[in-house]
Amino acid sequence: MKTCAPPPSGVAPSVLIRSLRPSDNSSLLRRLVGDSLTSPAILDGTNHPSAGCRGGVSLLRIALRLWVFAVAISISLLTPAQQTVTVGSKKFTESYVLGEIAKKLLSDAGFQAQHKQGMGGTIILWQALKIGQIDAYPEYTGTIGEEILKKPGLNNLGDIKKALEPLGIETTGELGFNDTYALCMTEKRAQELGITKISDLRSHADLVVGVTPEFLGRKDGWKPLAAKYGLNMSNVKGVEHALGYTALGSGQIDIKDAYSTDAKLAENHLVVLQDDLNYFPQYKAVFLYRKQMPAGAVDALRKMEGTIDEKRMTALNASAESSKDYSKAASEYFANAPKAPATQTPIEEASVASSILHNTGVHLLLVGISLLFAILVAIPLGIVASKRGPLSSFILGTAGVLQTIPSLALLALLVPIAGLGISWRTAVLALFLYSLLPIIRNTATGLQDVPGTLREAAAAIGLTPNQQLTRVYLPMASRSILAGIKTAAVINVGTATLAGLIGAGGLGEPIISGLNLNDAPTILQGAIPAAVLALLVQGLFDTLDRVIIPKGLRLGEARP
Amino acid sequence: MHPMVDLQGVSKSYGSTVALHPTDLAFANGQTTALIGPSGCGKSTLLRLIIGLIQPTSGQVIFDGQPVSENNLLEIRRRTGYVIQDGGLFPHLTAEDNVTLVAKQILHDDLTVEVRQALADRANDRNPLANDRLRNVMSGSPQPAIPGGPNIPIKSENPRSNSSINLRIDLSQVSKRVAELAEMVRIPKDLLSRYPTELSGGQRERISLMRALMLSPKVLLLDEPLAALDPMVRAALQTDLKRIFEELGTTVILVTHDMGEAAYLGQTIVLLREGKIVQIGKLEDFQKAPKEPFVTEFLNAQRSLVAL
Repeated sequence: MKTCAPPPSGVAPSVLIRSLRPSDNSSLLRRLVGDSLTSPAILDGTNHPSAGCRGGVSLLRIALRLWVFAVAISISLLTPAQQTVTVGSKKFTESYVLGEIAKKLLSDAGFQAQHKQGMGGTIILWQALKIGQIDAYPEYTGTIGEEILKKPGLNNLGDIKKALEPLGIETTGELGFNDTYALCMTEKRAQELGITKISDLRSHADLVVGVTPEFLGRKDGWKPLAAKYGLNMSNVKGVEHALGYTALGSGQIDIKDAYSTDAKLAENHLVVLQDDLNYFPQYKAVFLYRKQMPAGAVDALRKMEGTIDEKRMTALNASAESSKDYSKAASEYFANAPKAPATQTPIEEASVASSILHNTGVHLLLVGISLLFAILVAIPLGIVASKRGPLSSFILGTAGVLQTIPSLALLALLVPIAGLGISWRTAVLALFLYSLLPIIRNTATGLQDVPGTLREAAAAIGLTPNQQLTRVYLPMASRSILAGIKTAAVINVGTATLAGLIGAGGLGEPIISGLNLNDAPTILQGAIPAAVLALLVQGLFDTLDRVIIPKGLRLGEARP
Repeated sequence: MHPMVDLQGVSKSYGSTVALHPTDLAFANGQTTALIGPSGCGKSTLLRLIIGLIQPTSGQVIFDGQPVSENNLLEIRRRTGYVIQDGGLFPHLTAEDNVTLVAKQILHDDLTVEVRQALADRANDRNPLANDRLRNVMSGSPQPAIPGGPNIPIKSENPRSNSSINLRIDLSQVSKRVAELAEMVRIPKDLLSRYPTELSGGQRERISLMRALMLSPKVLLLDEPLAALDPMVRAALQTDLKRIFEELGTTVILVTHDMGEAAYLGQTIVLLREGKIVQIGKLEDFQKAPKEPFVTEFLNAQRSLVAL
């Protein structure tokens, strides 16, 4: 879960601007990760015994939904995707909007266009493009040079094209805007002081600077900027991004960092100071696409070249954030031909309940399938691991290492693997891997905790090793094993929200889009069912305790 | 007649620690032998060697004429009853399930596929040769170890050559045997459905004895079975044990640290100290002709009210 940490120093520091941008991406990630961390913990703590009783009827309906969904998945897997052109996007507003515009252009050109929204960060999108899961996605020149091609100096589109060619990837021309870091002030304050460019700040050492903590710490952040421009403000604070806008408005700070197409700029009447010494790297938007993409589709995408400047992009971003509807924002791009693609909105609004139910079903399916496989694999491994020795250390060690891989990193590692990619399979595999350790460890310790005298008794009375295991050891370890499965299940309900990041659906989907749109009701559409689900899972296992754990052991517990 | 259990130069060491020096000891058929000695003298080690829970460092154990090995270990264990302190009952099973566990496992798991098929064929009357095959498979019916006792079969390693598979065994016979044993160890029937935690120490010991006797064992091994019980309960159980041993005529090896118990139950007493046999005999032999001063010392350490 360390994806939001500052980039490793020395490895192209400016590379990660895209994923560290304060307003959308990084804060989104932070919020997401925070959510996935806190929700299971919160749920774990609330042991309401009544929670298990409420879901009786809806569980049945969910089961039905699950079945429908399973069928849908198999159908979608079997259907050849020849006629479709798939556009991907990163998980921040601007990328969503560009993706929607591309989708519309492709549909107009006669293709069956599909838009996989908010699939992840640069690495995930790039891998998906390379292996053909998507055909095109919006990217930025700075990111291509530094993060993808690992050539920090490479910023010229011609050179980029040459470098991409051997990889089977091509790029459109520039769309027209440069989305990079910028410094901004309120229009009013800038006018008062007569400031239009960054070098004007030299003579205003008394101004209060409030930049995001990331920008403050970055190697291409505030300090080198101040050095390059010879700025010597003494009052420089780290302020959280959203709070920074409020602080600007109320005059508590005078200058803050932003990115050049941030919707908040227009909303808050801010001006971007001109980067007259060209300090910030260029992040010009283009579309990357596969060489194999039909020529007609390429032409459709190229229609966007040079049509969006910073102002227009800012407006589109603002529209998306205020209307909470990407396709509606995208339609503003086609202002001249206002064929409003209003089809999506009514469908979505038709039934919040049904979408919640659908997402819950997918969520349960992800958790259920992964847990089932984990149980089948982890209990035998736990049995092996219960016999102390190098093999046991190896099994517990491997499962332990898997557990320490941050879930976002694990997803990023799994996505490039053939057959996985951006799909529910990847999510299930990741959840499966995370479920192993608690089950293996609890199985092993449960078996090890069988007292020595009873082990000897089991052998001495003439049970075969197999019978000892199934008739004595496993039943006696059942409480511990079940506790391991319960832990895995509750953690999975929380972690499965990350499936939304790789297009695997589930309750993470509304959470992510809600975070993008800054729309609490949408977030709650995912968060509340996830919480309820965790409680239900807890209740289910408490019931299973009574069914599975032998009565004799429960009596033992009651009378120590 | 050969001894039921015969230790031939058996020793056990853990690294440089010697638990049992090379020992020759024969346990006569139908006799009760008490192994006695201070803690760490090797008496429990000896018992665990017989049943293969630990392997001897040297020498070998002969059980009913056969050297104990990996191959016949399971069969030997099933021909042996084993009772330990506090019973060693499995907490997740009721008293009755503890008693019948191995018998039911044998019925469920160990009947050969061949027998099941033959039975199924006969039931369906499909195969005219079914009865012949069944007769072949059954081939012989062993004498019960206890007169009038059940013929619960004991699995041998190769089921095909096993002559003791007895198809008359079924669940009703198992429950008949349980009723019989409950009466023998004086356990009220309603206690059988309880779990070990719901029973008293003495009751657990009696249930453990039922479990040990379930398969009509040739040898009964008891490792300090009464050590944790209060004197009243212990005395009652000692009386019952003596009666049961006499009734069954089984070979019994009893580990105890109580000389009174050893003398009361055992026809022969074996006194051990630091992994070596000090003296074998009856209580009078120990009292009148101690082989070492330790023998007298050990006897004197066992205070009785009479002497006070």
